[in-house]
Amino acid sequence: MTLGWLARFLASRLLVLIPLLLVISFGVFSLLQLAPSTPERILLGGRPSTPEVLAAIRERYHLDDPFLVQYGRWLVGVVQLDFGTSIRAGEPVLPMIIRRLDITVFLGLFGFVIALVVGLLVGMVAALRRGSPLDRALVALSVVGVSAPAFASGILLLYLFGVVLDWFPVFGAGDGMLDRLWHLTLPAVALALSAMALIVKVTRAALIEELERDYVAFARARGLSFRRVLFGYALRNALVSVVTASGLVLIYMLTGAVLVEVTFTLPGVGSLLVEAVQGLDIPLVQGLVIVIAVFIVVVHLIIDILYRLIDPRIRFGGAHG
Amino acid sequence: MAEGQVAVPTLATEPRQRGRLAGFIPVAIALVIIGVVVVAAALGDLIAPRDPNAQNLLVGDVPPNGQFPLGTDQLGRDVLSRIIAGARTALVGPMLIAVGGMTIGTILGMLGGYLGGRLDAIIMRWVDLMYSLPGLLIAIVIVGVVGGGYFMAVIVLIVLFSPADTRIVRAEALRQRPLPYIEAARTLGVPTWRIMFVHVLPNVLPVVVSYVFLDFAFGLVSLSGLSFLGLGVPPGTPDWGRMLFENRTVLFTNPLAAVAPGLMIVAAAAAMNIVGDWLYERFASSGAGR
Amino acid sequence: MSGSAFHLLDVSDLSIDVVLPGGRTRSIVSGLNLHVDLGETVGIVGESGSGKSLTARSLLRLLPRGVRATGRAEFAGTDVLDLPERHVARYRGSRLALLFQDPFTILNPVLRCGPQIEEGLRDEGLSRRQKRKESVRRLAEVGLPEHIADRYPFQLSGGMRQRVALAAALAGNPELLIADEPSTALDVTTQAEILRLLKSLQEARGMGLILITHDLRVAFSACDRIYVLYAGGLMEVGGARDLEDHPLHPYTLGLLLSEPPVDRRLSALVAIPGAVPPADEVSGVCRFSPRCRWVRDVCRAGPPRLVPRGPGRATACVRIDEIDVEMVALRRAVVAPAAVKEPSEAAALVRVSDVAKVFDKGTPRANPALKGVSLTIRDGESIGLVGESGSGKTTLARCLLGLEQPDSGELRIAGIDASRYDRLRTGDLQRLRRAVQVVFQDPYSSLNPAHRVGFALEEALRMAGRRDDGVTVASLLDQVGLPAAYAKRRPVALSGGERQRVAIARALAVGPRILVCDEPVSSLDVSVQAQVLNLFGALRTELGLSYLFITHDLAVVRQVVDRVYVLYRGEIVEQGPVDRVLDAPEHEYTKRLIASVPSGEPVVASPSVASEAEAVS
Repeated sequence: MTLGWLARFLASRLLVLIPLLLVISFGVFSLLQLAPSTPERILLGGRPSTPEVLAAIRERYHLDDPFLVQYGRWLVGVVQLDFGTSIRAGEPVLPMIIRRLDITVFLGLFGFVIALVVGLLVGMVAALRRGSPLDRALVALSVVGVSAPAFASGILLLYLFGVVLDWFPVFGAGDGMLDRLWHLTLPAVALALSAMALIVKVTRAALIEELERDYVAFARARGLSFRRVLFGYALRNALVSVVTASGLVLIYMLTGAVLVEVTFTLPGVGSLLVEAVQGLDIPLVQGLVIVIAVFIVVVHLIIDILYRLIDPRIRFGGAHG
Repeated sequence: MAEGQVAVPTLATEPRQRGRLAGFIPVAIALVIIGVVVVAAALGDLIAPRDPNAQNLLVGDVPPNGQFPLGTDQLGRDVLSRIIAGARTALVGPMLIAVGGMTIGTILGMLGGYLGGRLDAIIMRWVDLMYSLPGLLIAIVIVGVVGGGYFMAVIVLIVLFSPADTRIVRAEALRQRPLPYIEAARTLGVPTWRIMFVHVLPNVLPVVVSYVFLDFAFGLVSLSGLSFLGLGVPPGTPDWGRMLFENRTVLFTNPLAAVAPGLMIVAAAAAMNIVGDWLYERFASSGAGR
Repeated sequence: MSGSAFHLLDVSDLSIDVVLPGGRTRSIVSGLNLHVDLGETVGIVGESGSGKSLTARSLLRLLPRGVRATGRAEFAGTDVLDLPERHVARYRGSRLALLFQDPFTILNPVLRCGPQIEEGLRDEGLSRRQKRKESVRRLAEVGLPEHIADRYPFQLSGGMRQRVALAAALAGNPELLIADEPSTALDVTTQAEILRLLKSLQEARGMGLILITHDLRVAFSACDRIYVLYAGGLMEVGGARDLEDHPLHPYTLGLLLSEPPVDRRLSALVAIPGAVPPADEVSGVCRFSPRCRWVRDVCRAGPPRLVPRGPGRATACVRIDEIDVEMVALRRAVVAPAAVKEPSEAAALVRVSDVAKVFDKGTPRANPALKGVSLTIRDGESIGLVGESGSGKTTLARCLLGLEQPDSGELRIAGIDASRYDRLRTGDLQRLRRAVQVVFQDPYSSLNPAHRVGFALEEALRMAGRRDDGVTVASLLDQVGLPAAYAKRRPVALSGGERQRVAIARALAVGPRILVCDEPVSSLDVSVQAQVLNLFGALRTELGLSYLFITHDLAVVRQVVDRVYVLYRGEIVEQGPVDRVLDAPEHEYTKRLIASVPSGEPVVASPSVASEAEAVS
């Protein structure tokens, strides 16, 4: 776990992840060609078109160049953090995204923490009480959770706690920390629900599997305390599965945020993406996807590092025994 | 070989039978829900009390009453009739997604898992790439930008579902490959295609069937998510996801107009998940493929 | 029964049941009585399904959910079965300890070895440094050097892991150690080391030791007294020597006769017919009665109790007085040895020349499995290939079968070049497939669970194109001693021995000239193993088959093989006629192998140092 090890590891991972980013960026750039309209019309964005205007646009965006040249030019811009200009808003894409970022980040982290903490606890309780009515009820609830898309559970929560009980606000993102927390609680819970169900499922299954392993029985046979066996043995070994699931959940938070922000009418990155897609604001879509892709790559990096911290067998590359 | 006469084998009843009946109650409920959705999808027009698309602005936004059991939406359309009519898009698309994704997944997974080699390496490269990306988000961008409506959404989701299915089938095929009965078949000279279909596939099939149900549930959740965002079905179509979006503004006047389709999505998806989980556990404990 | 009235552990009328839904129960063990004293080694011998492992777990209150133990188990005067849950942990480890079978699964994979031992130390208030010092001392006690404390379990070999586990089990200085098949998962030479180590620790610490094993030879060599357990009930109790010399129960006698001797070849083993039944089905009668040749109605009148017979001895056989003479006679009768077949002059059926194979070639993990191996099998000859795990014996078999490809060297089978199966012409490939067939070790995965027995045999017949020369599914089943009706069965409905018979029938379907048998009996119970070994002998006489018998078990080798090759780390270190190699081994490794076989003679307790230098990095 030295710095040198970390640097080597990061270098080896980046060798894989940078091509991944390139593939995604190429796919994103190709979107412009796939759209059911010519690029110049899309770039014009519904304004009246004359041949002169179209020609001017072709000129300005170098649309007559070969496709790969256009891609290369765009990529060079992206690397310099120039994502182009939004068609609808007419302003640079990156600042638009950054302006909307804080709500989504807040919402995503809030939801992630709820999903992880509650999911872990519930999964542990279910595993320790497996077969009991409590376990069966928790499993049933988690099945419902997995089946409830964020927008459906969002509407139900909104109705129950926003309209019927009137405990939480129905609109807005709130100003200031506490107010925001209050405003974003329902959206975060909606976002967390199905992710939480996944964590419950994974934690429960992994923990039950570990609890039945020989080394757990052997630890108990040696008189180690229940707490030590649960945390130091079973949970510790179940952690790899849980970390894998957490990575998926963190990435899922993006998709969930899109749905939840639309459901609760929150001005975040997710709703920005929906607006961009619906308005065929291609440069904005491209910028958003690149930002999201970078986020995903970072999440995968973190997960990979966590694996190595948790499991010495991965750390030593299985080169022994 | 006088000792050859072997004692009558005994099928010991395993403790896994424990609580089998109790465990079946949720499955029974799930099957009833699935049955109702299937009937509604098949006979929609016949059993819907009203025309699901008939607008009547005079009775817009009314709460449930004798005339409209679930009330009406903003345009005065009967919510109950629209829910019944919506069963069709809720059933057909997810079914195509589940079956289509699993078909691709089974083919690729069997090829990669059993044959291995470079083909497997290519398949896994693709699977790992897709697995690390948020599928629904990709669907939103592609369907949103390229268009193509409901069936485009279905096709995109089939493609997006297939990597996870491939991964599952491949893992199962990979587990089978080194087993003695497969190697014995190879030693007997059984042709490769026959080993794959006759020896590997039957042991992989239980998992495939279970995951078709689980995929259906996730397909419904994903597809109605797209509809909710206005992608996929055209505006005005009676679709549960779309209704949820359109009626979320009438939460104060007729909440059922938005809550009911939401509950339908959850109920149908949960039913499929329950059946899928149940099948999976049954197969796993029956020893098939162990 | 014997000695003092107060024992370290005194178990009386122990029953273990599975509690089924609706409160019904299914018996696993019933009416078990046993006792252990300090400084004593007691063996519990039983085949699979005897309930021996659950008995051990019940004493530590570690039964799985839904399994219940009743009766009394007094440890130093306290009934451990009745102990409140919160006091149980104080017993475990510090008074009673349990060592499990599989060293590969009993250590926490994410924790270094030192801390796993330190956790069990009971001395309060030790500093970190003192704990570390103590764990190093404990490692030395089991013959391991200090640096092992900083290793993770996966960095160690099986034998070393078992030593670490033993140190961990003894960390709390228990008065009684229960070792559940402590050496079964290990290689032969390592097994002997672990047994010696256990004995020496038991003597040095003066603790009680219960050794649970399926292997009578192991029990005879290590134990003072032995309890014979069968299908959940005690059959017989006695001193190890007495039991070996004069068993007082037909089951014990059956086990002794089933056990292939390592020092001489027998014309056939006297096998116990059938398979071990579930305890629940025989709990109301003499448990052994369905398989006993001396069974009478009186045996089925009710569950017999253990009746004392002589000092320290007891038997559950109700007819022992009537049949004792017959049993002794049977024991004498079968000692007729058989001669090994004369060296064959027939043409070579299989010729392996200088075959080499490296796994993970070109990677840092490159592992040479075979380093230039040559051997010959003549037509009709039975050849043994002996070696421990990692010797390359299975790799060689897989090369012969075309499941693996040698990197270099030549394989010729029945005149066909089999070095590269993928380059063979269709005709040659077909002839090759019909010449050489295989029987694998694990009967439970040898048959496809998705298909009936008949389907598997039918397919094999079709592959051989033999459907018209009178060979049918029924005739194949008959050949391996199974009724024709078995064709309709699914593999789950068969016992291990039956599955292995079907696997043999499937191999015979193509009319092979040689069977490659990779540890074909090592997963079977001793009583069933003898049946299958007899079957191999009969088939050879009947069909003139050749065998390549791959095994680690020298007793099996002695029974079925004409010539032996000893494989060690990918090289053949010794070869020759079976009697010569086993009686007068020349190579150092062969000598070590033979010395490791538990002969029934008492093991000399020796504080051995781990000899396996390999696998440590």
